[in-house]
Amino acid sequence: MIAALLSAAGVFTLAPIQEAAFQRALELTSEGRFAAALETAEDPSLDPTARSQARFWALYNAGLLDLAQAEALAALQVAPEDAWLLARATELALGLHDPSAAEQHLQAWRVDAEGESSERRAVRAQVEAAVATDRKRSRGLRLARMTTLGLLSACAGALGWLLRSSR
Amino acid sequence: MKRDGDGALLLLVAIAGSGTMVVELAAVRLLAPWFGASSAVWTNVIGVVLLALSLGYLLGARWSNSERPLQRLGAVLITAGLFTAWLPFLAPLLARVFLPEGTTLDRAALQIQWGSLACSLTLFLPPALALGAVGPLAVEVDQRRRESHAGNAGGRVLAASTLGSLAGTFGTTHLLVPALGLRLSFLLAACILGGLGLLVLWSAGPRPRTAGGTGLILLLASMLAPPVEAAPRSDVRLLAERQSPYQSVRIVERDTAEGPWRELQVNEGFDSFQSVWKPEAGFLGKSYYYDCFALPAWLDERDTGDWNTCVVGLGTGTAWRVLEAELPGDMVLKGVGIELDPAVVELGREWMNLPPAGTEGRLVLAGWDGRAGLRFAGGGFDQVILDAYANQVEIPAHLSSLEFFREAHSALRADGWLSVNVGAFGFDDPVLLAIARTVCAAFEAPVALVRVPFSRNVALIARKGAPVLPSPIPSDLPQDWSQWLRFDLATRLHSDDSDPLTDDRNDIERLQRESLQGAAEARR
Repeated sequence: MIAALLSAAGVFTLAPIQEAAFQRALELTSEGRFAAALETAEDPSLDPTARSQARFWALYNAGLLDLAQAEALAALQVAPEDAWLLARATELALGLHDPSAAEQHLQAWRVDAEGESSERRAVRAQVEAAVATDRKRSRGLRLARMTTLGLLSACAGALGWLLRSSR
Repeated sequence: MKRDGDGALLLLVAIAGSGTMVVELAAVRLLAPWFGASSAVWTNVIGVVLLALSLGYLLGARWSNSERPLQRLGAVLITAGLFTAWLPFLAPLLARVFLPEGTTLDRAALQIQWGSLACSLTLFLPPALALGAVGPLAVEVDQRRRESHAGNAGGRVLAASTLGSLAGTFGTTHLLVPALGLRLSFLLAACILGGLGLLVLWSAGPRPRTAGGTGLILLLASMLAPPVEAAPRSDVRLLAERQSPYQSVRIVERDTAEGPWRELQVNEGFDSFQSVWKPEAGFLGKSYYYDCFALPAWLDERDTGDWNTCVVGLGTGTAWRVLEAELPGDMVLKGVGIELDPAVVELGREWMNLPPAGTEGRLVLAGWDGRAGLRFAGGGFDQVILDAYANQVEIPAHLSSLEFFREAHSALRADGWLSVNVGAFGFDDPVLLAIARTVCAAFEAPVALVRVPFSRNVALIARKGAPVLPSPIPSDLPQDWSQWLRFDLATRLHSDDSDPLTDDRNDIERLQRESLQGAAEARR
């Protein structure tokens, strides 16, 4: 079902020989049998891209988001322009509060010739908001450091001057 | 030897000492909604106040050489009053600059350290500096009046100042802040300091009176400024808010597909919460670690009779709300809940269905420390649950030591269970590993680490005198636990018991900082 949906969306285009193992991995994931799904993803009939996609999907649904992110990065090494993976990796990075990774995935996720999809548009808006918040956070941290160092220097100077002048 | 006004001068010094402690103790509470009240924040505030006092002593010493030290004394008191009056208005504005809205807890480790230090320096240095100058000026006034030795005058002033500080310490924590709240506490302290300063200037002649009048106008103007408070997130409604002796606590409500859910937030400037409530008791959903507290009962051989629990860190009773609806078979929940902050218990009873006092089978030890409460609670428990957090991320050191877990071990029945909620970013998290080693050492057996999906929590489970995970894992567990416990990326047995945390050597706070920083660095 999931594979059919994803295939219909043009996400997965698999050779027939791979499809059975891939389909099985997705079914096991949807049943919550994540260990079995990961085992099935190791089926030798699957090429590296399909294997990574199946592994990623299992970890993503299991809620082991850090491991899913690592798998997504590994999968993107093999298939750097895979739109489905990029979309999931972007959402995942947002969920893990990692706006810079989300921004990188979004940039790699190319806009189709027919224009930007509604999914990409929605994700882009979230990424832009997260990046803006993170920039404000970085600015706040920079300002806090500068304020601290400035005031501490002033205090040190004042202490030195007062100590010397009180002799 | 002149003794006129001796008592008044010493009283003035005592009040200034008291004012210093109001500023220092309430300062942490003022910053807590944004930066928490962790030991890092306390250290920053205390460090800044000490630095300010040092500067103030030197400035006071310098000004004491003037012809009229009494006038200077009045001026510094008014200045201290003015700076104190502005604190509750400036703090929220400044905190939001250093810690912008939307910053998440796992991104905020450096922000908490630097932001709280920058805020402390900007906000608390000026009033504490002015208050520091009071001592030397008062010594000078006293010495000139009494024509006594410097040591004599200094000793009297120091004694009065320290006694004032003592009164300020207890008064701020137990009276001022709980009764008046933060804003009024600062304003009261400002009024008293400013008023004293005016009195001193009034007694010193016509020119100082003009300066005093100007100070009075500024002080009154600052009190008319509208209060600025830490607003809850935009997606929630504020239901109730309290200033307890320990922290600021609030109950907020948000709409979900299952109706309104409520959260207890404690000193929250981030995206975290301490307790959660939904209209129906029972499981909250896989991403909530509270659900894992029911796992031991399902793994236990029994499924009838009482399930006797002791929850250390009860909050508003979320663990009980899950357990009372989700125990297997005919089990009935009984238990003791220990909560340090009585205000949390009151809010829980009012808004989150925490059973009222006197409910059969439920005893809430409100106002009790977790460790002392566990000792008082007795023994024979089927399950001890540790869910005690301070300052959003910190398991207190005395609740994460070998000695504490041995006490928990003793409080369990022969084959009872311990559940610990550990905030951790995966199995390699330094906090998780340290606590797992410590529990292993206390229970002298391997412990199970169960990752909570879609969250940054791990449920640690230990069992006294029996294997923690049965073999084979039962196949009829709720919440897909049967699969989850067999999944090696989600559940792991930990058997290393080396280098446990102890009461004597416990670096849990450093490990907690490392955990947050490690998570941030992993993203780079």
